[in-house]
Amino acid sequence: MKELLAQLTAAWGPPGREQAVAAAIADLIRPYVDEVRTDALGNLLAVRRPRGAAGTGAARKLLLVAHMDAPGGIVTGYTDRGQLRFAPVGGLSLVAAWGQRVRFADGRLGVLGGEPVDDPKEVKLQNCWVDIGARSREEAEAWVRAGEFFVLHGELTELGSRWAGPALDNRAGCAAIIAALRRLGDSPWEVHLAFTVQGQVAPRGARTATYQVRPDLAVVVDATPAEGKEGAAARLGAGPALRLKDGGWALRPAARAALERAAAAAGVQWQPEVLPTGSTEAAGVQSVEEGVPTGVLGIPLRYRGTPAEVVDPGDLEGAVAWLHALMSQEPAPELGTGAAGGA
Amino acid sequence: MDLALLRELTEAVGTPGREEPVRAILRRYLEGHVDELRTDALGNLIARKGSGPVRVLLDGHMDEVGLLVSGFTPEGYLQFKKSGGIDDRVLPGRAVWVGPSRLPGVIGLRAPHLSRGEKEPRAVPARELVIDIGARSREEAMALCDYGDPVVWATRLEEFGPYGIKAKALDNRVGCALAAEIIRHAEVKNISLYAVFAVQEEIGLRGARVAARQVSPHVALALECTSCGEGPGVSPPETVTLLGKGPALSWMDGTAIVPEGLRRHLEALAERAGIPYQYRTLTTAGTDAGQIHLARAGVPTAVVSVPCRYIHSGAGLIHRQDYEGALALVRLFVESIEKGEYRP
Repeated sequence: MKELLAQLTAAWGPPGREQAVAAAIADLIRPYVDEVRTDALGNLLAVRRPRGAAGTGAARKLLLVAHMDAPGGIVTGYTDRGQLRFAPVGGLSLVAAWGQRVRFADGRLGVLGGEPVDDPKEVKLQNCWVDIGARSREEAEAWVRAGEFFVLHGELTELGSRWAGPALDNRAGCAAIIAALRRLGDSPWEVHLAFTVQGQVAPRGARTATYQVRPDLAVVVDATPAEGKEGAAARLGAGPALRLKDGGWALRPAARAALERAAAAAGVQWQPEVLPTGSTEAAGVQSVEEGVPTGVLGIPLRYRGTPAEVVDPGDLEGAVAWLHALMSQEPAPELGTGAAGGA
Repeated sequence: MDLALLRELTEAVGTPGREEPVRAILRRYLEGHVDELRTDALGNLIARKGSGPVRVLLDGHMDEVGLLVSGFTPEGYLQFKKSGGIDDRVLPGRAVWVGPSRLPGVIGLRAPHLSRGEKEPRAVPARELVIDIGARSREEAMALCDYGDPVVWATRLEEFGPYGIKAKALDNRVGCALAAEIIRHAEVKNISLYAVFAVQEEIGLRGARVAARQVSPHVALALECTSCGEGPGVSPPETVTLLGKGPALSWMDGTAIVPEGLRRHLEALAERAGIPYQYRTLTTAGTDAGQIHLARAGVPTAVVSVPCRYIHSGAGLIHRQDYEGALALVRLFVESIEKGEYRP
């Protein structure tokens, strides 16, 4: 798992520029799926048809969603001293990124810095820049064009019994799906995988991917804030989180039953979680066309939006076992039909 | 450029949800010059030319930011609410047109002798302002206009300086005029060219969302008028765009990230034809592209804008050559797909 995670976190992919991540994932999943393709917005979509003693009739569709993009920034201009003006793209924390390395598509490194400040509250976009070591504006303009994107630079390292690295939100989610797929045997579902674009920004890729699949059940796999403020309930190391509600979506009984049944079958210890604000791609997925029963499986993560996000291997392993059980189990008859709406 | 068209469009009254006069002008301009022209359930005007397999969408929203009449005072003043993003500071003392027939009015201003005692000059909140149409009673006022009537700036288009065009509602009658000029004169065999004149962009990209679903294009351009922050002491990138430096291409905004390949194609077309272009250096706010690119299975969508000083105020200013550049660039874009040089 660590090797998979290291490979995925090394891929360059800010919001809207996920091609390298998609290419890496495509190579990883190709042996395990029947179809894999990239769509108009850059989502990587894959299908694994039912295996084993599947029933007759059309198979039910399960869609697993994980966004591929990581927080970054875009170059908007230059200072006279040869630094780059920029704007954040996705959930980049200026305070946390201050003094850290960033990386452009061609591998060029920069340092996100700015005017020296004593109080982190004074770190504002207007007094920050990216320093690429250029000695003049002309040099900077020749090296990096305005409009180019960058990501936070760093590598995955062990941190005691945990892992730290950039882009774990949400390459951890991507990795969990890939690892579960690799060990999947028989499955009654037509399993669809959507590794989506721009999930850091809004549920954009997730929405258009879901439109193409029209699943009976969708599960969004995403990093979730561990021990955060605003009373977020998830704790690092306490298992993957079953999200009950957030600022854009609420778990309904049909999806909850499917997820709880799978967790029980796999013996996964999970934790319930409610977020008063914020949301995942589930907010977009659930309202595509006639509506989609949607669950959110959270992977607890500390220090979101920094080059050293921290996850717990046990939580990830739990997520893998959970997704594996979900893909393996018979779909409940009522899922994806009007009956799932309940009384 | 067809200045008569832009004049007629900018002088029309067309606030969000009340785009009828703008739609009528565009209908008249396009009738007989396109293969299909229809208005959908929300009021979007959708034109099509050609019936080839590749569907190309050009979007320009018809609505402008404005006000709407929300009530009448016993003295005959009109109370109003904003429809779209307008800065309170630009309201007091401005001449306006009320309703589609352009009834003249003025947004009342506290007389100088009454505001003299105030310690600090302040922007009077919009809720404290009223519109004076010369009525002396509620009954007189209600005989002249109605609840919900649109209110816009009373501004005529004027050319000034060698290149300047001053008007209200350049955001986004510029986009409408560009799309209308292009589809009216386009010659297409291999593609289906659609122009969508969308409603309610200013209050949430609403028309474009349903129009893009109907057209289901393979590629789309949102044609816009975007902010130019030029003024004393403002330098790039805070200016966002510069007047006279050509059409502005967007990298991203708050509602969409433009695919790099599509933007590079536009850049290559401009460079080959010697059309100057620039980048819009703001990464926030939004356009109809925000909804178009999410239609159905997703649509690669770019944004081409004409820079405008004093946007969302009573008198915006654009540069004629920026409009001409946008017109030429978008024409080349359509041609490149028609000729199969670019396959979306």
